[in-house]
Amino acid sequence: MPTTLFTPQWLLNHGLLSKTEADNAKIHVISPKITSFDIAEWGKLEIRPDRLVFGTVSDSHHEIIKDIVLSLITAVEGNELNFLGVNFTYHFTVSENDYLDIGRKLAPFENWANIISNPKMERIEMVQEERSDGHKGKVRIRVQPSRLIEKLGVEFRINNHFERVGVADQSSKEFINLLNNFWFEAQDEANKKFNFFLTNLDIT
Amino acid sequence: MDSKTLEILSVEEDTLNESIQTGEDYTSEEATHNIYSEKITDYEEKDTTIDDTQTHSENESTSEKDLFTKSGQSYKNLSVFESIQKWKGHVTKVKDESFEARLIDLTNGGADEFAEFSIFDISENERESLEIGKIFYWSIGRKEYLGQIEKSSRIRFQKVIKWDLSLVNKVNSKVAEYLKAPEAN
Repeated sequence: MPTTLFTPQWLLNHGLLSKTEADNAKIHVISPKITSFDIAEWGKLEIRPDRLVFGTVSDSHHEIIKDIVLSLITAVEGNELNFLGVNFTYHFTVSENDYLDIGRKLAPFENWANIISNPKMERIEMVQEERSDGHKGKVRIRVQPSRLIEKLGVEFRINNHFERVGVADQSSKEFINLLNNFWFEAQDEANKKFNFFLTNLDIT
Repeated sequence: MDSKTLEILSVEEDTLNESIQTGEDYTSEEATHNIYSEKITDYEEKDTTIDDTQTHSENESTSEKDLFTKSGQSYKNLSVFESIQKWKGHVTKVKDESFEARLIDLTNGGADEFAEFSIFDISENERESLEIGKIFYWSIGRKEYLGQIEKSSRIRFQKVIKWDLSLVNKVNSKVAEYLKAPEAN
C-alpha cells in the first residue's frame, strides 16, 4: 500500500475528518516507508507498505475509529487484504504484592529454581490457536509491565487476529462484514477476558 | 487495591491523552484500541500483534508504545476524558436551535431513548453535518486535569466514506503505480 495515500487532507476531502481535525493533525512523518500522524488527542494513524494501523486511547472514540477503518477498507476495495487485527489493551495499577504475585502465578518461580536466581516474570504470551467464534484466526493475550504506567503498572493485551478465508479480490468486503459483525461482541469479550484475568489471579 | 482511585497518565506533547476507566475490580484501567488491516502479497504468514520488541529507527515505529507514548516520561498533568456513558444517535428532527434524536445506549443497551439537544451542544465544526437521518456519537464523561474534574459531553457526527467506484478506481490506480515502482519491491 502506498504510504502516502492516506493523509489528513485526504481524510478531510473524503469526509472522514472535520476541517479542524485535519488542519490540526500532527504529522510525524510522510515518507515512502511510513506515514504517521495524530488526529487531535484521540487518534493515530500509521501506514506502512504492508500494514495500516489505526489506534485510539480514548474509549469515546472506539466507534469513530471503527467507522474510519471501515471507510479505508472500503477505499482499497479490490486489493488483497490478508489479516485483520482488533486489539484491546488494558493498563492498570496493582499493589506491590499483587504485582509480584502476577508473575508468580503465571510463571511459577519454583520451576526456575537452579536456572536463574531471583526470577521475575517480564512477559508472558498465551495463544488460542483456533478462535471459538468460528472465524479463522487466533487470540493472543500478553501480560507484561505496563508501558504507560511506570509504577506498578500492568498491561493486559488482547490481540484478535483474523485471517482471510475468501478470495483475495473480495477481501475488503470480507473484512468489512467481519468488523461490522464482530465489533460489539469484541468489546464485551475483551472486557470479560480482562475481568476473568483479574478474578482468576485473585487481584483485588 | 483501591477501586476508586483514578490513575492519571501523562504523555508528551506529541502523543495522545489516555482515557482512564475505573472499574469495580481494579484501580484504573486505560484501554487502547487498535484496528488494522494488512495487505500482504509475498510475505510469509504474519500475525496482527504489534511487535514492540523490534528496534526502531527514528521516526519509524510500529510499537503500540510508540503509537501512543514515548519512553521515559512521567504520567502527570494529563488531560483525560473518562467516558461514563455512550450513545449512538439518529437525528429525527431539526429545529432552529435544537434537534431531536433517537438514541441507542452503547454502554448499557436496553430500549431506544429519545432526546432533544441544543445545537449549541455541538461544535460549530460539526453543525454542518446536522440533518435528519444523520448518525452521531454522544459520550458523557469527566475529564481530570491538574487535580480538577470537569464533566463534559462530546458529540461527533459519524464520518464514513460512501462506496464510490471512481474513488475506488483512483485509490487502486495509486496502489498499482506503487506496486510497479521499483522501491515497492
